[in-house]
Amino acid sequence: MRRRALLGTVAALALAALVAPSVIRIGQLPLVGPFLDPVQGVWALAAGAEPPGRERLDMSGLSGVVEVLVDDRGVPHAFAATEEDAYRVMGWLVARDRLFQLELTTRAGQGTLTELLGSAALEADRETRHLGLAWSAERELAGWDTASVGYRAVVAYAQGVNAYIDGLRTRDLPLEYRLLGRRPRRWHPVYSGYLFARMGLTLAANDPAESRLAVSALVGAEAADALVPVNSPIQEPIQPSSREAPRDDFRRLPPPGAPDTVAAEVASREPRVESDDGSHAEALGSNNWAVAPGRAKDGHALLAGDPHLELTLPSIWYEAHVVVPGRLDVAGVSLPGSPGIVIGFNRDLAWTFTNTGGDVSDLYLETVDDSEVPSRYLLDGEWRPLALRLEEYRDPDGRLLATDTVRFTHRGPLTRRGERWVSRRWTVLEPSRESDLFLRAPRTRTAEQWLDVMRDYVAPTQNGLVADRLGTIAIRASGWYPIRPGDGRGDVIRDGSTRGSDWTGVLPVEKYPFAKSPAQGRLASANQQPVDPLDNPAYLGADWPPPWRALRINALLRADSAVTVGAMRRYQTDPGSARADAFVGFFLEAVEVPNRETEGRKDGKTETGAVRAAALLREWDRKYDPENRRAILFELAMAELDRRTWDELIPPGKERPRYVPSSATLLELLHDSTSIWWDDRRTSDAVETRDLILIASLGAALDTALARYGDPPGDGWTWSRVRTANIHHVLGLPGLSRLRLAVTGGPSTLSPLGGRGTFGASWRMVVELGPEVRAWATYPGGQSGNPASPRYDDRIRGWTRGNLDRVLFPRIPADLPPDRVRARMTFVPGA
Amino acid sequence: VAGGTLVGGWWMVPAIAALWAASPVRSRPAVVAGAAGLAWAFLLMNPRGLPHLGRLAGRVAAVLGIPLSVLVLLVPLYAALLAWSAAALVTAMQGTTRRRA
Repeated sequence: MRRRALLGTVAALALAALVAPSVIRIGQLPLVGPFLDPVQGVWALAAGAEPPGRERLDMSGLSGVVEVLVDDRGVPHAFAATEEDAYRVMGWLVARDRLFQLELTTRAGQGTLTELLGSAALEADRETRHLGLAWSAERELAGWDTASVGYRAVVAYAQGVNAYIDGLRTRDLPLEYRLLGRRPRRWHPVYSGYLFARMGLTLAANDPAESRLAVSALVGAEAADALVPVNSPIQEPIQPSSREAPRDDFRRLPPPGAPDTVAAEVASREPRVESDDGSHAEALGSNNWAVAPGRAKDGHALLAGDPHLELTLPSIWYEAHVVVPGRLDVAGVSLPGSPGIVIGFNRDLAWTFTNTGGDVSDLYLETVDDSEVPSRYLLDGEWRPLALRLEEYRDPDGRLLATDTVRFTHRGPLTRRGERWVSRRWTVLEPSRESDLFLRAPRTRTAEQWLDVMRDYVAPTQNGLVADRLGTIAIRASGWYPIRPGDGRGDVIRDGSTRGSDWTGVLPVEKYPFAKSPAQGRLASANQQPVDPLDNPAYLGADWPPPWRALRINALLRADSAVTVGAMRRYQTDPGSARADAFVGFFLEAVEVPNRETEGRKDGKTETGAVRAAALLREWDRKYDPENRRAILFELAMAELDRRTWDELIPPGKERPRYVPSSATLLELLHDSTSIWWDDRRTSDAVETRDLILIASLGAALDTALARYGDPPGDGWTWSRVRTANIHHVLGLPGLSRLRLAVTGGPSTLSPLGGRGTFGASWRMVVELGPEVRAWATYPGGQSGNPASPRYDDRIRGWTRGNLDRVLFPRIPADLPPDRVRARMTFVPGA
Repeated sequence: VAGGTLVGGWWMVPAIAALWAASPVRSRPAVVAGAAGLAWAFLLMNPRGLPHLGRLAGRVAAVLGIPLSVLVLLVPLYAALLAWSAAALVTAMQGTTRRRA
């Protein structure tokens, strides 16, 4: 009797212990029973890893049948009778492959991550909403012509996403929702707007005024003008120059001045440096180039593009091919959440983009009626009401976490900086129709037509490169460049109390940096200053990224008068570095060539280390192959050089500079061996010169390398051991990420690899514009967001090796080789 | 148990185990547990998902921060424990009821 009672008690307790965590979420753990269930639980994802071989699906809203063939790369080829049908099915397909990513990225743009992830995302949401991204997207949708192709496409796309969500079975719920204990939300057309707003933030967040304020606050305005220059000290422009290129424009930097007190009050407190070696900024960029038929071995125009963005799993891109007979036949990549093919090709032309980085954001120092809770701002002597937007932040259960009031002047959102209030006008927030353009551009047949469509492009500024089968190659740095009053500069903070500070218009398209079929037979852009200021002095921006990648690609193309598709592919992962070519000689010369400035002033220990380091550096071929064993010494030396040179930019009480000038500015300074900037103020008993700093940097780099990686003959110095690409899952889950990948590349190589390795070539494409357009491409990830699928990360191996896949481009379903077809879906109009 | 899970999900395991224990068959709880564990192991072997199961299990184990072997064992073990506890509880209750009768 007692034994039976004991058994009953133990069984009851065990049952409760097993059932409770299956119905009540404990901490971060998923619900155990539903999670482990072999039919409906996480294991069901294995059964959904591959699409069924043949499927017939009803979809409401379709006007006709849509055939979809999925090839062995996981790419859907959708054949539809109308564009709306095609985009409706695209929405369904993207939802099937990337449902969680769709929600996460659009919530990031909307500022509602807390509703998915909880209070941990509150600060990120606050930042997004204070930037006005959601406000802008909602305003844009409300003003959109409902008959336009863009509006109809985003509505159709939303219907497709919702058709998938409505039919979603528990067994198909993506892993991330299971881990978080959530269900997907239904899709609204405005979410595509949130996505573009977020992309605008990624590509146009850098405001040179912020950098200049940070520097002015420490060393005054004159020095800031030199350290955050309007014009790059090295000119290798996108628009071929009428002068010799590249052209050095090195000047003597003015000495550090007295801090600018106003700048000190309003300068952002956030550091402007994101990694120890400052390489993040140099890895966040893109390349594109095109070769005219006259310089291509087979006589056809060639185009290459590789946008460098954050590397994530799933990838930021989704590859697709859409055919609407007589209207559209386009392949390439879309952003999950938006229907258009952003980068790709059709039967006649190919196009791609790099970020121009134009200055499209301005700050205004506002006068408000109440420094704590302002409700009005002063404009031309009159108090004007601020527009208020109440922002509520909720958790996944709908409970209110926090509220905020975001204020807007007629220019844009108003934020507090210390005791001051600053408003921002930003083209990313202006009403625009990027979605519309990305849907109309693929319909064009010639480069001329493509350029014509892209005239209306607003933000963020992009170097749109196009090549067609007629042999035309062209590039234009498109987007709105504001026209400012006075000297026209946008890298300064302006007085907000007068309309006289406002933009007076935008640059006409004819004034954009532009080139079409130039005599040199090639075009290239890599985020460098787009036009030589001696050719066009209009203010387009400041603080341009150094042109190392542009120098390298132009050098490669200049030396190759018979470019092949294979060469285009090889160039995309070329290991050479113009930055290394520019700097290595200075280090070697400082150590190896005796001179007056260093004579008798070198510390014996440092000198011994520097001599050894110089001998090691001399062995370097200046390449960043995975097996290279000297690149790390150079990178450490460059980091030391930055650290020892820019001590004036370290705010009092801090250890790191708020801003590190670009390596092009550093090179400019290297040409002035006795500049006062070389003196390290932290060594009060000595006045350093350039060569002493170079020697000390090299010696210290060797010390660091020896301490971290051991002796140079060992494997510790191997580049792929110290710098790797790291592709994180969108939620940062290590188990779903691919980390420590050996790749070719370093800071400023054509395939850049920054400090943390989390940015890089997000899509590589080479297109040959022959009688039949042929394309090769890949991206670091896979088409499926399902970690059980072989197509979750199947492209990463090829990507790390610089390989590209041939892109299948069938005109009709029957053109797709049967052995390359993995699934066939027929979407039929349903109830 | 497999059929129940297929139709109703994880909670059918304790429900069926309890019914089984209460039925005239009166299997021992350990037998019921074994059957449930086997049923879930069998369901995991879904031919459509089987080729991808290893990849998925490896990634899920990494996400949860547990060894792969533990995760794989956890599935039949969880079903077995659920079934055992439900069956044992019913068996104990039946004994008490019979004695009172």
